[in-house]
Order: sequence, then structure tokens, then C-alpha cells
Amino acid sequence: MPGAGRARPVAVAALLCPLAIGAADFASAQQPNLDAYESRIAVYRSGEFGLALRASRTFPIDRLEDQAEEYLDRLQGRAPEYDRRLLAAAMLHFDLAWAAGMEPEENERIGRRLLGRVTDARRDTWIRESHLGLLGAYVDGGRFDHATRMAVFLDDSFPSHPAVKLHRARLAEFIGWSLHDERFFDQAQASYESLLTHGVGDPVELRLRIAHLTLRAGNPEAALEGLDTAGPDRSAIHRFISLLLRGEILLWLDEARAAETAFAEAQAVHVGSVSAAAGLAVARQTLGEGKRASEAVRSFLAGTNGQDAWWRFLVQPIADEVRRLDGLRALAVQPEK
Amino acid sequence: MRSSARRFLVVFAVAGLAGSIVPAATAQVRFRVTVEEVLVDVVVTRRNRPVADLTAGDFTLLDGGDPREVRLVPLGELPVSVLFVMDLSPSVTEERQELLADAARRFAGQLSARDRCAVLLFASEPTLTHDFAHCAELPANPFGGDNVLGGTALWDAVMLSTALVEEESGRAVVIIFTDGEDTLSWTPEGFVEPALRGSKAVLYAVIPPDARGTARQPHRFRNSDLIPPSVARRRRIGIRRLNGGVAPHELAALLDGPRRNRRPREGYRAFSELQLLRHAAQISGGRMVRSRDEQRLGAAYEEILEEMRSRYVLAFVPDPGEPPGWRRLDVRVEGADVRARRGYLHQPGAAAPPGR
Repeated sequence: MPGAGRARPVAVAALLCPLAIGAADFASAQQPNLDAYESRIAVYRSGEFGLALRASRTFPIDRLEDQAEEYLDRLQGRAPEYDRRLLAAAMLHFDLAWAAGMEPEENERIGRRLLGRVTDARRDTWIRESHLGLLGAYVDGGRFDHATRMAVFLDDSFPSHPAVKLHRARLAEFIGWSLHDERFFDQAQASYESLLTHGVGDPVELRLRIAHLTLRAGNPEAALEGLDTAGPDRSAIHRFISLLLRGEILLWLDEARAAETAFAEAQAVHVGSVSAAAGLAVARQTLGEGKRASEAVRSFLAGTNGQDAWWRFLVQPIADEVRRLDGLRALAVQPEK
Repeated sequence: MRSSARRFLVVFAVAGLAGSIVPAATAQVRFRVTVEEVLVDVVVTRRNRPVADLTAGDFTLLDGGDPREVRLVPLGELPVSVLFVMDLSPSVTEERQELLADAARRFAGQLSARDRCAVLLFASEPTLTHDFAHCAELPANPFGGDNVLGGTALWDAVMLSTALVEEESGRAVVIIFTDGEDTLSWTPEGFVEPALRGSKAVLYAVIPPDARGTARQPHRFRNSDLIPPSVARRRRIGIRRLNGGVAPHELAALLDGPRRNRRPREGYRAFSELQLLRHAAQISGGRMVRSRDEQRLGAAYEEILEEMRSRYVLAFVPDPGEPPGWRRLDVRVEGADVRARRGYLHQPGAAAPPGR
């Protein structure tokens, strides 16, 4: 999982593993007929997500879709818990899409069809929340093809929502960084500049990201100027990113001594970040200061917690959106007030 | 360690030489002249077999094109520090780990009491699981560790491991086992070569038979003036493989209209992570050892051990009048193939670090 997996390597397991135990308990205690769609929704609403997922996976997608349609036909608007039952059914399909990796596009479509019948006031919110959550889940799992589909859907459906605009740009930046395809950089940079102009998002973060993209586009001097204007009032993560980018820019400009200073300051902010340690080691090795390079590595090894700040900045904000799925799942299991 | 090749601070007591200018009565007066020697770790082969029993006179060493007089440093004078680096990505199975652990233990068992060994495991981040100590103290299962989901940061591990061995005295060898995939490294590939030029580590990469490496495309700066063409090819930041082998065109849906149809800039040339790894090993004077047979993976370590034992360490004195910077080295032996690091970082007048 080359996505945000660096920070969240077992997100899928976190959904499924505890549930396997619960599933066994549920099965022995109540013996529900899990062939019936309604039963699986009831199981899901009881909080036994894993059991509902595993039972659903035994059906081919065509059958699942037929069952969902039949469920929609039977479920009337005045049925108790109408919206919550639809939400639970949709969430079951969304979970099948990302956690079980089962026919993601088909399950997403079925989920949307179910949510499309939710009463007006909630419909758009739940569709947006669930798809932002799916975007996070796919990025978390390194499935950028699916994440791209989500970003495009969100952009088409909720083009003016700040989180949608920001994540689309972040995803383009990340894919551009991964592929080194400047078309994505162009896309991201244009988006960030527009967001900055319209006062959407944290301006310091946006300026740092623009500086990153400027570097990737091959303009280190301009990137350096961008860092200088990013703003003095920075959080630790922004200070770290600014220093890390400065170090990289200076190394590209063959100013290894100045780069070394920047990387050392970055390491002082987040000693456990492998990116700063690698930058510092590279700068010192380039200067022929091997002993000091090894000291940088020792500092990292003593201080690492597996959370690289560069990675957190680059992709974690999108991956964190997976929490929206947790929120919707919690909503689905609650009785309607 | 101040340069790519290990430097020695050689102190010549020149009293004897000074006899003609110093009266005998004052012979106890000693003039101290410091000369830094550059050490070059080399392998000489003929028909792929190591060549033994060479003398200093058999070697020709060109330092930036200028011939230098060399002396042979007896291997026994120099302890060896070996850092075993193991890729813990899911492609490295438990069976493979055990096979390699056996090989590493056998390797370590044949080193001397002066030599030191350590183990660094990596997936998304490197972890030093066994610090430098006598090689006999290598744990029974040196590569024991669960496979880690979450991607592989190969180049970060290469940078950190080659830097880590700099604290060790004597020769330093880094043996990295990897399937050649990198999905997460922060380290731009373009920084690998300059860093390795400044390292004393000899890097060996052991590659399993099924390794394919990550497909990559060279990074390109729009401003081509930024990097001289001679090094532009090497200074490239590659593509990190996306999970499931997602092709870029599948992601292009994210792009707005005109950009979607625009082709990436011309001049892209796909290359493999393994090519970069081979290049990195060659810069350091090591090499990539690719096993063709799963069961003979351990034999790769035997090959490396044999090669380490048959290496020669040459010492020469660079011209202090030369300007500082990277200097190309060519080492030759008539009728044989020679593998050595490709150059060193010349730092005239730089004080050698203590203990070196």
C-alpha cells in the first residue's frame, strides 16, 4: 500500500479484524439468515459490520444489486428508521467497495442509488460525506485509480465545497509527485492559486504547496522565494516542511552547506522524520562529512516513531477523511430520534 | 571520514631525512609533515575470478588523469564493518528471510574478531535492529521481522545505511537485500550519486530472481540549464509505482480538459529501480549480485565474502595543489578487469576527523 499506508498501514484490518470475533458471537447467539438482504442490513445496524460484509461478499455483484433494488422497492418512505436503514445499506456497499475491494465502482453506484432515496435534507450531505470518506479510504489504501474516480465525482457533484476543492488539488499534487508528471503539478498549482485567491484553506499550507510544485516544475529559485513569503507564523509541521523544501532546493542548487543547515533545523523540529534524516545525511555525505552524516542517522534512529512529517503533510490530510466513514457508520447504527 | 575514499592522516617523522639540514647534535628536533592518503578498495578479476598476489607495481592509478604512486595496505590492518540491510516488504517471504539469515550468519561467522556487524531492516522506514558489535554476536534470526504493509522506501534506506557506516573505522560494506521496489522514499534519486561519492561504504545489492524493480521515468526539470547535461541523466527523480500498477492514463481523469489529452513531455525514458541500484553499487565500488535461483540466494553472500577477501586496498597521496571537489579515479591492471569506486571527494587541507 503505497498510499498513506506509511501512517495507516492496516486501516482495512482495523475494520475487519475485530469484527471477525464479533461475527462469530453474533452467529452463534442469533443465527440470522444472512442470505436475506434485510438481515444483513440489520446485522450491519447492530454494529457487526464484519459479519455483514463477509456475508455480502458471498454474493455476486449482480445479485447484490438485485437485492438492493428489491429492498428499495419494499422499503417505503414511512418505514421506521427509513433514512438510517438506507444509510446502513449504502455504507455496507461502500465498505464492500473499499475494505473488501469488491467491485468498487459497482458497489459505489449501488450505494449512491440507495442514498439517492434518502430524504432531501440529508441526501447531499451523506453522499458528500461518504464519498469524501471513500476518497480518504482509497488514498489510505494506495488505490489512486479509485481515489481519482472519487475526486472527479466529488468535483462534479460538489464543485464549490472547500474540502472537495482542496483534496482534489492535494491528490493531483500527490499523484504528480508519485509519477513526476507535470500535468498533475500544473493542475494542482492552478487549484492552489485559485484557492489562495479566494481565501479558501490555510494560506501558509497553500503557499508551501505552491513552493513544492514550483520546485518540482524545475524552478528552484522561484520556489525559494515562495518559501520566504509563505508566512512567519507557522505551525511545527509547516516550519518543518518549509525547512525540508529549503534543504532540497539548496541541494539541487549545489549549495550543500546551506542545505545541511536547513535539514539540520528541520530535524530539530521533527527528529523522527526519515525525510529530514535522509536529507541531512545526503547533504553531509555530499560535503564529505561522513561522521556527521552518521550522527544524523543516529538521531533519527533514536527518535523515530514511524510518522514522517513530510508524508503527513503530503497525503495524510486526504487519508484522514476516512474518518467520515466512521462517522456515517456510527450514524447508521443509531436509532432515529 | 572526509572523503569518498578513506583518508589516513599519515605522520612522517622526517628527522632522518633532515640530516643534511639539521646538525647531528640537534637530531632530536622533529619536523612533522602531514599528508593525507586516499584509500581505494578495489577488486581485480580475470575471467570473473579474483586475481591474487598482485603487488603495488601491478596497479596503475590515475587521479583525474594524473598517475599516482600507490602502496598496498595489508587487509589485516583494516577491520571491516558490515551492515546487513534487509527489505521487509511483503515480497520477501519468511522462507526467503530464513535462507538469507543463514547466509548472513555464515558470512558473519567467517569474519575476524576485529570485524563488526549490524542489521538494519526497512519497509517504509529503516530500523536498526542489531547495532554494530562483534560479528559473532549476530542474532540467530537477524532478519526476523514481520512483513510490513505500507510501501517501501528503498532509497531512504540506502542513504541512511551508507551514512551510518561512516562512524565505523576501517573498511565499510553495506549488503542490501531488496526486490528493488521503491514506493515511498523521500530521497530524490538524483541525490544518491553525490552522496555515495562522499561515502566510504562499498555497496552490494543482492537481488532475488523474481525482482523486477519499480518502473520509473526520469524526472526532468523544465529549466534544463539547472543541471549540466552530463549529470542530468543521473539526476532524476523517478516514478513511484502506484498500487496495482495503475497506469498514468487511468489517473488522467483528475486533470482538466486540455491537460488530459496532453502527452507528458518528450524525452521520458522508462528505467528500472534496479538499474539505479546497479549504478549506485558501481559508484561505490560494489556491485549488484542477482541470484538466478531462489535456493542459491545465500550463495550471493558467499560471493560477496569471497570478493571482500580478495580485494586490494590501495593508498595514494593526492596532489594538494589540486582544487577541491570530485576527482575521477581510474585503476587499471594489465590483462585484468578492475572494479573500484569511480572517484573521491578531494578536500585539500581539510583536517582529518579524530581517530581516522
